[in-house]
Amino acid sequence: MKIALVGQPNCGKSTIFNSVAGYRAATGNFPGTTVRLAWSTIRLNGNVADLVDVPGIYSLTSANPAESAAKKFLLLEDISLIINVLDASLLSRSLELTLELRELGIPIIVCLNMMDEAERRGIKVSSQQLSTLLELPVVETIGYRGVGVRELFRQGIEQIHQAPTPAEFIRWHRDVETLVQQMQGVVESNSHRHRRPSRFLAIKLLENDEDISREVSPEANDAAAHLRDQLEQVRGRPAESVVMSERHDRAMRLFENSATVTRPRYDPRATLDSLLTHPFWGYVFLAVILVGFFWGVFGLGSLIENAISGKLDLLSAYLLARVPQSGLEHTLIAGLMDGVQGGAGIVLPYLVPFLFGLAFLEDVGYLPRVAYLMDGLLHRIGLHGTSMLPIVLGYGCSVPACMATRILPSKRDRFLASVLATLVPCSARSTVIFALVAFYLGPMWALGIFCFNALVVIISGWLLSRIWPEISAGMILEVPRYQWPVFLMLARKVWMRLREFVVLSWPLLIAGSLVMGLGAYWNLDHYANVALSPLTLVLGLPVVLGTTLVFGVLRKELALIMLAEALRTTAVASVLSATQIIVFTIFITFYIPCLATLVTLVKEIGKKMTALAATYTFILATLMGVAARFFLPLILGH
Amino acid sequence: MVLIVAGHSAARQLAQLGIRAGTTLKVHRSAPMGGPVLVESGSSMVAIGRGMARKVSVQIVG
Repeated sequence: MKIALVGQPNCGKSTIFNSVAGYRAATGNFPGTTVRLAWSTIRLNGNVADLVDVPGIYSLTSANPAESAAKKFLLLEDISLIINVLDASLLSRSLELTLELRELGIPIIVCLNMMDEAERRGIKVSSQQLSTLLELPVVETIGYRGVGVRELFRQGIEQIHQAPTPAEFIRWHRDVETLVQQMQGVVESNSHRHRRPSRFLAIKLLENDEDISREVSPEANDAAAHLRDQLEQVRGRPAESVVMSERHDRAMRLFENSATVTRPRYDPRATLDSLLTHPFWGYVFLAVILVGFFWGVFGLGSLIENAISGKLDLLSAYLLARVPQSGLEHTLIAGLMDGVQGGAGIVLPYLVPFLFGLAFLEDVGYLPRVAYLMDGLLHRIGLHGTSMLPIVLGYGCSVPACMATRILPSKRDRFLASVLATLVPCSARSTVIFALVAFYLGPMWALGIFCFNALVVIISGWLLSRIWPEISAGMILEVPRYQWPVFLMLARKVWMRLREFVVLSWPLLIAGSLVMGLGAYWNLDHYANVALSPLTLVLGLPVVLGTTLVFGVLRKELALIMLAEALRTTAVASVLSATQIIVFTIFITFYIPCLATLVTLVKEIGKKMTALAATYTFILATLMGVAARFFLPLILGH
Repeated sequence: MVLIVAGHSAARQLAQLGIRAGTTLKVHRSAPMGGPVLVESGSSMVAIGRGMARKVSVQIVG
């Protein structure tokens, strides 16, 4: 049994999904947070069901890969119930999708979400009235607080096996309806074996839907073309737009008959927004927010690092004092403790505040504003303004960032955005920057590296878009309202992302640290370092750092821990010069994306493009590293 | 707003966001450097790239 959560982008499907399934799906206050189907098995009154979180769609006609995945799912799968989630504050628009879903012949329950937001905007919806007119059950919910969700599923279960029947109130105008019925006759006489009702197919054919027209016979397509012409003659505009306005018209009538609109309450968010999107102050605030974010993460991180590291140092000194020096036991304990310390003392202190900050910005809804502010600049370098969303998400982790490129309509834009998103320092690489550069050389240097990186990203974007020129389609992006994040949701989200570090990277880190220790014990690392010496020599780094660079491909934060391991001290500054620290960091930041990202890239943009991206980033990293090696001493003055 | 002269898919996308022939729009802001226009229609706010926005013809109603 499959239950699908379907609705327009940013209406809160994933929030409802998570409140039932635990935190499994990413949520955020911007359209297109969910780009692939998320599944979870749930229990409902003793029944086991698959709950599916479907990416947001405005209609059943798709504009980008995320939407077509949703459409394909709805057209082809065997679905027992659709939970149609509506943003009650955007009711009339949301109802257009409801009307389209109704035609699918799948049982539907309507979930009026964000009731509190609608009320604030002076929209009072009578769910009873709406239910009567739509002839579908309607349940009111406030997703982020979990209000009404239990009731939604209770009523939903009752609805299974009850496919919607045509409702009187939403019947179309007679002239259009006649043509739909004619088309329906053609479809039926051609006896197509399709999962969906003939009426749905007929309407889609009149809308000139490519996916459906590929599935029906040439005769049906000919008939559809003929009827489309007829419709165009009667109404004086394209058939597609006639069908759309039929739905729009009914949605408006439904809205007018079930909701009353009064004066909205004063909304301070409007004032806030006019400041944050201001042609001048908007950019000032953007800079302030980013720099504030940076200082916040660094300040908190170094505070925690100092508190934890000292204790762990004492612990490892205590343990090491109990075994003989230079024995195998000593090597093992030292390796183990370095791994533990690297995770708890160096990575986590910066990772946790960073993830909290990013989750906050995502949930508040600031990211679409960033896209709005940056679109002009991005367009200059030949990119789509919406590309800003995946690129900003890249600061969290490259993997979801590459997946987020699915909200872009063109293949070329997706390639560019994925490459740029992997160049942006993800939280792991930011940790390297914070813990190495900021910690040893001061925060200004770290800030400098972030700015330098941004510059390289912009130049790369410009360069790549020249190599693969294409006129980027204009941006059309919905900008959602600000939402005050709920702490519990933030914490869950941070945990979801942190879990990966704790259960996957950290053990890997400890294992890597052990391998490295043993390698050094048996003098094996020597060979690896010799093999990599051309690279380390070009970069002007100690030859012993060769192996750490390899570990960096597995996970970027591994390179940091391995650095301490390879140098046999955590007092990095005593062994490496300031220039070497920066060169190392720059190289780690830019070169080949980590393994998880590579795998994602192959899935998103293909093997060839991934190879291209990896080569590009490797060359870029080497060039930048060499440039830093020779130019930095001039600035640093030694 | 009066008319949209744009490709099929763009016109459809705009319509889905409530921007279609005959609707009243409120322009909130336009970003500098040829950046997008921030437009409110009904209750939703949409950022439209400048090139795309040029294809939307409007009549000013005060």
